[in-house]
Amino acid sequence: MLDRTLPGVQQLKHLVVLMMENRSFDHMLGALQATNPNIDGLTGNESNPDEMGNAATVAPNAEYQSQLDPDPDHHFPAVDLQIFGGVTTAQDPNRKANMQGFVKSYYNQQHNLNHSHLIMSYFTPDKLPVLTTLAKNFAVFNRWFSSIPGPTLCNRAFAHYGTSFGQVAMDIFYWNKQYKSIYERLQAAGRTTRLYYFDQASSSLEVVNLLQHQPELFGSFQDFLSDCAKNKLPEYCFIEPNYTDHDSPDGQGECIACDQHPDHDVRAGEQYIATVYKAIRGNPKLWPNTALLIVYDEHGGIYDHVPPPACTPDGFVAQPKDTGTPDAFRFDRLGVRVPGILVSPWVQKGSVINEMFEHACIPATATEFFLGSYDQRSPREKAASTFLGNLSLSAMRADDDCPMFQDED
Amino acid sequence: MEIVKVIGAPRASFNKHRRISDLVRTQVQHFKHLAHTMGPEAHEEIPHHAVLTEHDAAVFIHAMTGLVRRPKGKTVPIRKAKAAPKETVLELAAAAEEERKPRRRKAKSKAKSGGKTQAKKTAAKRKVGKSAEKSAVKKKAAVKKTSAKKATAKKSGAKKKATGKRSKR
Repeated sequence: MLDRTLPGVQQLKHLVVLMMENRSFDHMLGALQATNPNIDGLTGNESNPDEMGNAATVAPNAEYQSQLDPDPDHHFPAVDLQIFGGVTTAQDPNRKANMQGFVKSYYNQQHNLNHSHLIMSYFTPDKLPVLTTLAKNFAVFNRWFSSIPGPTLCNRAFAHYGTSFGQVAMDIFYWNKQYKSIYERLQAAGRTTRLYYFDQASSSLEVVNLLQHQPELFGSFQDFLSDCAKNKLPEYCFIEPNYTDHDSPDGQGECIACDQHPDHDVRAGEQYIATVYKAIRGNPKLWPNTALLIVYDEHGGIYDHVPPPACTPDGFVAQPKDTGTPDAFRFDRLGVRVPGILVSPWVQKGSVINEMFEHACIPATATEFFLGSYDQRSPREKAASTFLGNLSLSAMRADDDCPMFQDED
Repeated sequence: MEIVKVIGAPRASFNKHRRISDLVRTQVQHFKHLAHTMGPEAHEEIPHHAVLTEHDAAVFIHAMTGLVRRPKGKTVPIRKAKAAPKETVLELAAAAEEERKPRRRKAKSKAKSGGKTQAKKTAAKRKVGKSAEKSAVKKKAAVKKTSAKKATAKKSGAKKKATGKRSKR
């Protein structure tokens, strides 16, 4: 239950969610453990067996681009292998998640032993100045997991609906099923809400659901920047990155993909995150009353060492023909851990949040804060934690206590 | 206040000819699903090029998002307004084809055959209402065209070699 007496919560007017693509926690933030032992990152000794049975150890050699090509498999069967190391339920009905199958899974794509080791790569903090600066200055979620051990769309569905309606893959048609999206709920209550896609050429991933049926919900990233500058930011908004390299539709230059999905350049995503942050931080009327959540949809097949925990089932069952494995999936365990950072001047610097979170926590938090009691939600969302209690400082941090970003010359 | 410098992506990172990921492929498929639900008026504006690269996808998605977001009940004026973007979309698609040509000869031949099909369709439209005699004359003209195309093919082969030399330089 949210403590509404907290000054930061009383001040709060806007919740902004930026969801990036396909990177695991250890890959992006794992190295921070060396400077902050509270962060559950990497010791440097974690390993996976490779195809020859030799240990492939984590290595601080992640590159911005051209390293994880082909795109690591992150569909349900591959993630099952990554999490359980290749042990099936037929072999062991009580199998345990051991995170020992990432190298094997990547090897399956090219049968290249050396290349398969690259799935264990991670970034050093100096290579990700934006993400790691925000992590060090605000709050890092030690236990934010993707909602499903599977690919993008079913995971993103949890951020919009608090469930994927039984889907574990990419074909999602769930408009007007029993649970409303967070946007529909907020609109019905007279609240303001919007989804910002990067531009019309990148558009949204919510094509056959929200974009088709509620196109008025959407705006572009330029609209987001404009809304921030004009103090017209909606109460709740969700930002999508650019998913493709393409010419600018207005003919003015090139738009580089900034979603950080392999094999897109991670630096472009860093710039994008910095731009979102600056748009909020740079407006003194917005900064005190806005909370920004930066989170990744799923791990993209990249190594993380924390076994995903069990969770409250959401009442659906995906059959073996849908999971691509011999087993049905009851939505009773989470996917691989992803980076999650909560930014607000009301967050204690260097906070580490150890409570368990997943994407259903996003609509759960927005619903709790903006609507209060709301019953028509999935069991999973109802059981989900909310994160605004971390705006726990009794006084807002001073302006010079919060970092600022500047583009490199 | 801590000022942190942001490392930008170099220009060389940009590659609009990158093959689309599963994610973008699915996004395109979902837009194609929407295309089937749209009325015949919209069909004229839906691009039909092959979506292989990120640029192809962006051109297609740009057009489709525009159609999906078009306000209802304003069909006529918006169709007029859409005429210009449509040209732009086609130009972009054509540009993408041009840029792909040196890299994929097979794709080029497919594009060529697609072009032929389109030309045939256009010719078929023009045929409507004309007499059988005229179509017989056209058949003769088509024979002439075929021989002319063979000559063009030889020329384009020479162009390919020239392009290759330019890119090497």
